[in-house]
Amino acid sequence: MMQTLAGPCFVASLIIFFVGLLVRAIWYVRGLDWRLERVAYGWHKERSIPGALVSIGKWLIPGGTAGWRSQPVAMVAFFLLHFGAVLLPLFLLGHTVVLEQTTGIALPSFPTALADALCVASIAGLILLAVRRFTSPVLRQLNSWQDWFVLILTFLPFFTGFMARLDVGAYDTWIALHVFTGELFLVLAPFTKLSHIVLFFMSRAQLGMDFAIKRGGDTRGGAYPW
Amino acid sequence: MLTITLRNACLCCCGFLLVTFVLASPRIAAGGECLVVKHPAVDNPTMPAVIFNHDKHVAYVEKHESDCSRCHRVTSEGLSVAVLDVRLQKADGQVPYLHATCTDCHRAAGRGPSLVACRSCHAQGNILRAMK
Repeated sequence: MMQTLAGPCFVASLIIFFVGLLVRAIWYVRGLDWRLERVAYGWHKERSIPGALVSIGKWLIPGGTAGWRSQPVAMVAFFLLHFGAVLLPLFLLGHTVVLEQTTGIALPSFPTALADALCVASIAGLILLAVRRFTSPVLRQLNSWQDWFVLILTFLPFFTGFMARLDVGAYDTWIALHVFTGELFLVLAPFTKLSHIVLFFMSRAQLGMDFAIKRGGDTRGGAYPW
Repeated sequence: MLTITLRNACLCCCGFLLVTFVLASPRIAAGGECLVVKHPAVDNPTMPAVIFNHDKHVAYVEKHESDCSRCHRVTSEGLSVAVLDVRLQKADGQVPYLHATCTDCHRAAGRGPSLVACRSCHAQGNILRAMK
């Protein structure tokens, strides 16, 4: 079972993940309407492209934007989760070994202590985000079942992977569950709010272009410091 | 007859294996002999050492009418101590070579841990599982 789960099933889920997210990105661009949004996307590239990049870059830095600074708890929870969520799938030793063995691509890997710390931080971030979702009056109004579903969907690969790493019992079960829940995450990402994996970049780029093109963003240090 | 010959040969090569593998080789009833893989030596290892259940592999080889050459080179001086050509690999290629050699065979056999189940083999400190 493990051979199938970690072989054809994993390849299939990767294809669904990448093709699905690519389609979501294409749909995003096709859905733009320069008349409706009153943004001349195709013009002023000397301003729009830096504007897009700056907007993406600043949101990727903790405290890099006014939006982050105005909600420090959410910011801490977000970055605790996302450092691990982005870095561990790529640079965890177990993952890099499998990647190198199957594709020949050799990535550097984290020391065990750093990987452990990132994983614990991510789980802590997820718990904080869940608590925030439960306690914030605004979020309680906005909550849908899918918001909880994607939190759990994100939690499961971390939790099962960490249980396997701790190796305190039932290792084969934990590692199989880790592979399965990881694949579930990949397969469902394009069809849920997890599509923000790519759509974050699309919407930040769009807004960065918007502010740089028509709102005087280029007069404020290269782009609007949103 | 074939079985007896293989058994003797494998018992002999166990002795050779002890030179490079070994030290702790506890024997638990019905569990088989487990060896701690010592070669290639890894500086500052990030994973626990591999526990290799030799008896279990010998039993598989015998059952499938194969022989020790599945894992050992037959040389004029007898069976090679290390697994196939691992010693011929450059230093940083020996671990990937073992990963590939072991898990390719497991995949072909439809048995044994796959590459993603790291701690099924890297099980030092959890020897009871390795005996299974």
